[in-house]
Amino acid sequence: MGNRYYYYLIAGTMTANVVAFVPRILINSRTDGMIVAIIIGTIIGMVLLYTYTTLMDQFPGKTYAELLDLYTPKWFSIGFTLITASIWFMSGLLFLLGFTFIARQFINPETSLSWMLGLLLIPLVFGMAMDSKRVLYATEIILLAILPLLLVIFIKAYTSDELDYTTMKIPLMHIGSMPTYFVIAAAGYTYDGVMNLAQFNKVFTRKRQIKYTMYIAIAAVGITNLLTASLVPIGINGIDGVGSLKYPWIVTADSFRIEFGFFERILFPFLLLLIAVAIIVILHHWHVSYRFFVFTLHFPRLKYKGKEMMPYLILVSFITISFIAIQKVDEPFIYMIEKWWFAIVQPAVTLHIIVLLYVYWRAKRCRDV
Amino acid sequence: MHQQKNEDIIKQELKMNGTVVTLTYMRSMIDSNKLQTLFVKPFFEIKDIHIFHEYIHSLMGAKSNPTDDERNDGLAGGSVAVSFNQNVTLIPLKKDRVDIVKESSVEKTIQGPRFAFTEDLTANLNLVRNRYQNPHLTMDIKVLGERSHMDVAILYDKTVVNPAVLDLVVEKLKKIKEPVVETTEKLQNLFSDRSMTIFPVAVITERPDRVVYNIAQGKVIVMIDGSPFALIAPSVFWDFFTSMDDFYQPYWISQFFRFLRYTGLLIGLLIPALYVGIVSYNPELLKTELALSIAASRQAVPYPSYVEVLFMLLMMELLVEASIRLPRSISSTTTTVGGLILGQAATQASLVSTIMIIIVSAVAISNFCIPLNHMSMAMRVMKYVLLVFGIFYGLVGIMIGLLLLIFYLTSLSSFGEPYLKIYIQKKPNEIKEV
Repeated sequence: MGNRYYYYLIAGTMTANVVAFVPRILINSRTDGMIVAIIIGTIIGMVLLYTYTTLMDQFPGKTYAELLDLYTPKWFSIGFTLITASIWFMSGLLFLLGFTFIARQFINPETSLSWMLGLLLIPLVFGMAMDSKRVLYATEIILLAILPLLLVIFIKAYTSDELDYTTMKIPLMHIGSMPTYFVIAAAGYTYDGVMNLAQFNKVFTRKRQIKYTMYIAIAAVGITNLLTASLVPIGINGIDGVGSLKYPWIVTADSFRIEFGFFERILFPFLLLLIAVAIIVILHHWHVSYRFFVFTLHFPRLKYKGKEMMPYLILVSFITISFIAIQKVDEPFIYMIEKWWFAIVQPAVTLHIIVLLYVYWRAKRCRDV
Repeated sequence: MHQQKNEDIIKQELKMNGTVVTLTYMRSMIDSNKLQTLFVKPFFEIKDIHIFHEYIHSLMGAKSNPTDDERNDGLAGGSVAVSFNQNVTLIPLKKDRVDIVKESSVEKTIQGPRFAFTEDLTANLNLVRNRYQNPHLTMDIKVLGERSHMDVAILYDKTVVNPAVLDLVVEKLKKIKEPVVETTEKLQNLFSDRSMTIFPVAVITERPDRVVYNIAQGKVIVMIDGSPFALIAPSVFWDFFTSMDDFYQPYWISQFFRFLRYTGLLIGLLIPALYVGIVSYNPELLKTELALSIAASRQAVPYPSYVEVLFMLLMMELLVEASIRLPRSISSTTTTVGGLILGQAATQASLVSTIMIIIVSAVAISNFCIPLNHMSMAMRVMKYVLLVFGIFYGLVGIMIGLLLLIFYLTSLSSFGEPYLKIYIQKKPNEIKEV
């Protein structure tokens, strides 16, 4: 498959994070090191992205779970695959819960949370069981339809009269202060879409060989994305006012009007498009997680009419956990978990890569001998 | 790899007093009456093989000792090769077809070729070969239908065909255990992997020019004796939105028409659902003036928007269905009566709003912009699925419904080829990767 599918994995996560929790975490530290956090986060994110891509490129057509199975002891490969699958599931779940709240709060306030969650789960459950290749085909279609429209909205934001460039420069004045780890982790998280290669590497049966210019381009797009996510709300809402906003970008998008058209408020198309991107990103996470669970959890005895039941049980447990979770959490709690989650995910991902390095070393030794 | 013997080629031997003359020709291309009067009868009347040889040479258009290429091309073009003692003579004997071929009625073009397939397989093969005079065009005849034993022709150009697809078609044909297969449409349903389907996985066409175009692209064509439609395998989603006119118009004009069709698709799919979603859930999305004018036109309507939409859509579907089934002389009455009732009276009785009338007509018109009937029917049904999402969830529901539709379409396959994907880098044989 073409290299372009690799970029879609990265682009999805970057875009979806514009609305969810990353801008709020960044903006909360707008006067203590936001810009530095963006830069450090980008550097960390890009190093992880580069290492992971290059390492996975050594094993064309192999998934992470298959590699563990081949090159590490059985107890470790099963255990670590399950841990990885759980991390991926959790990432997707937090995103899903966050967007359930957003969709209910801003579009359908009368709908109950579980009812809304049920809706968002329909395409996810259908998509998870699809072939990895087909997931990427769907991703391409949806992203190619949506990203230009989002770009129009961003351009609209940058050309808006209300955007105050002087205010946007204030965070730059605080460039000397050091950000907290949480902010850096949140900024770095936007680059983690590439980690979905853990499963999607299966479809890249030839070596990708991404050029260095492309990595620079990814970093440039990532920085632009993070700056847009954080600075535009500051420029529109003011350096103090923006602090009280729960979803800075949503309020920001609602401050624009289209004068010549059928609809007036940009908020609705913006949110609907972002929900679509979010579904794609959650789908990527859950697809990886689902495949890893199916790869590890084999119970040949659990059969009904000659079909193995385990995949269905995994799907059902995904659904059940989501429904239980939505009952237990509220919005401040989700924000807090998400903040901690970003902080936990970075070391977890680093560990994930270190294990892959070990696998690479083993594989190389095996080939030499 | 599947065998590539061409069963269309006939070798007929004329024997007299130990001398043998072999006639080689392509059955579907030549006129069998002429063959009888020009070759078989004189052969036995002349009785001297040398004089017969002279006679053959003096026939119109005769060409002696052609090269192999010339001979193959000649056979594909409807000539008879007469061989005798290493001597080969090629005589054109193309069948002139004046009967049964009619103008296309389902898939019309403005300036394309006029004729459509007929219900006779030989005539259809003749129509295809007439437009594709290439010796590599190969035909297999299989027998289909446990009881009806109809001839099924598989046509392809053996130099460009994807062998994997060809094998799959032959294998799937073998598996079909249906007593009677009347039409290619039924065959298309039998080809599909799932038992309950909504989207067609193969283009069904009545146009020889479309078939020829697709043969040149390396596709496999399946035709059944007795059906005026040919099946093209594999077909992808985008194929259903092409009309043969696209190839006959200047580039930008055909791009414009393509754009129109996809717009029509979106309008037909989304507008009813969006109406419900916006009116009942998020009227604040619209411009204030527009929201007010919609609200004003709905003022007298006593029930929620979805009842209005379902009522009008149902009426429209009934009208469409009735005008298809009725004889032509009566169907104009239906449209007039239906149009009057739906258009004027329903609004005046404040059963529906005026804007609803516009929406329903827009939906009805745009649905028929899709050039291939199967896809247009599928989309006609799909709009109700999106409508249900719109009724229960408003705008978010419609977005999710669309995503689900895209996921479903991408999960489909047409003879191993992914049904919906974006083709940016051209790779002809993607099936190997699937």
